[in-house]
Amino acid sequence: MIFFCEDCGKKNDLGKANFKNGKAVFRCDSCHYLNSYTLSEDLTKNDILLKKIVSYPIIIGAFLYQRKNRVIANHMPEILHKDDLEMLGSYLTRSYLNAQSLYSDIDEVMITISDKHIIIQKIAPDLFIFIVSTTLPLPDPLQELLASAVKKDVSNDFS
Amino acid sequence: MIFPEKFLQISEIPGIDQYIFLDPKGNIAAHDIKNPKKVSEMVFSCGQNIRAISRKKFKYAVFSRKNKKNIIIFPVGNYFLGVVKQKQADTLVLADTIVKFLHELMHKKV
Repeated sequence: MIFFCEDCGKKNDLGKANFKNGKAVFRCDSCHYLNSYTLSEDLTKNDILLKKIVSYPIIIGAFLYQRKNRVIANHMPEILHKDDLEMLGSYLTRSYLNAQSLYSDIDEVMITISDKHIIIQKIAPDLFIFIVSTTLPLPDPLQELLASAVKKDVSNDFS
Repeated sequence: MIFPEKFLQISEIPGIDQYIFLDPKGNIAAHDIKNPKKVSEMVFSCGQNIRAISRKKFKYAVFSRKNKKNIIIFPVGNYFLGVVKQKQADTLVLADTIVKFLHELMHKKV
C-alpha cells in the first residue's frame, strides 16, 4: 500500500509488517522521518475489498487508483512495478472518463490484452478499481461484491 | 491499408447495431451510425490511450452502458473499428465473432 511521508512527501510502498492496531508506522525511504498514520475506515475497507477480490482463483490481481494520489492500494503480482501500474491507471482512467463525458451511462470498462482481461470500475468520485482476470465473465458473487462497493454518488443518471 | 469492400459485411454480423471505422488520423473511413462525430471522438481517443499500453496485444475494449448498448473498440492495423451492440446481444460472444471476422479479413490473400 502506498503512503506519503508526512515530512518530505516521498511515496513509500508499505508491506504488512508496517500495519499494526489500525495504524501504519514506517520510516520514510528518503528522509528517514518516522511516520505514524491512523488508518481511516475507508482505507481499511478498500484493503479488505481487494483481498476478497484476489481470493478468487481466476483473479490475477487488483489495485485501487486515485487520480490525485495514484496507486493507493495494490494486490497485483510483484512482477509489475509501481510505475507500470501508474501508467496503466493513468491511461485507462483517462479513457474511462473521456468515454463517460460523452456517454454518461458508462459504468464499466473492460480491456482484453493478449489473454488477460482488465476490468475498471469507478467506486467513488475519484477512485477506480482495476481487476485483472484470466477469464470472463467474472463470477456472480464477485460481480455482486463490486456492485456493493460502488458508492451511490458515482452512478450517473441514464441519458 | 487498402480498404476492402468485404469490410462492409461487418454490418451483417448478428448483434451489431451500428459501426464506425476510423483511419490512423481519426477521420471516418466508413460508418453506419446516427451520431458519427461523437462516437468517432470517443473511439479514437480511447483507442489511442489503450494502444499506448499495448500496441501489439490489444484485442478489444468494451465500454459497458446501463442501456446495454455497449460500445466495443477494436484495433485494425493502424485503424480503429467502433461497434455499438444491440441491447440483447451477448457482448463477449459478439466481440469474439468480430475478432474472427477481422482476422480473416486482414489475412485474406487478394
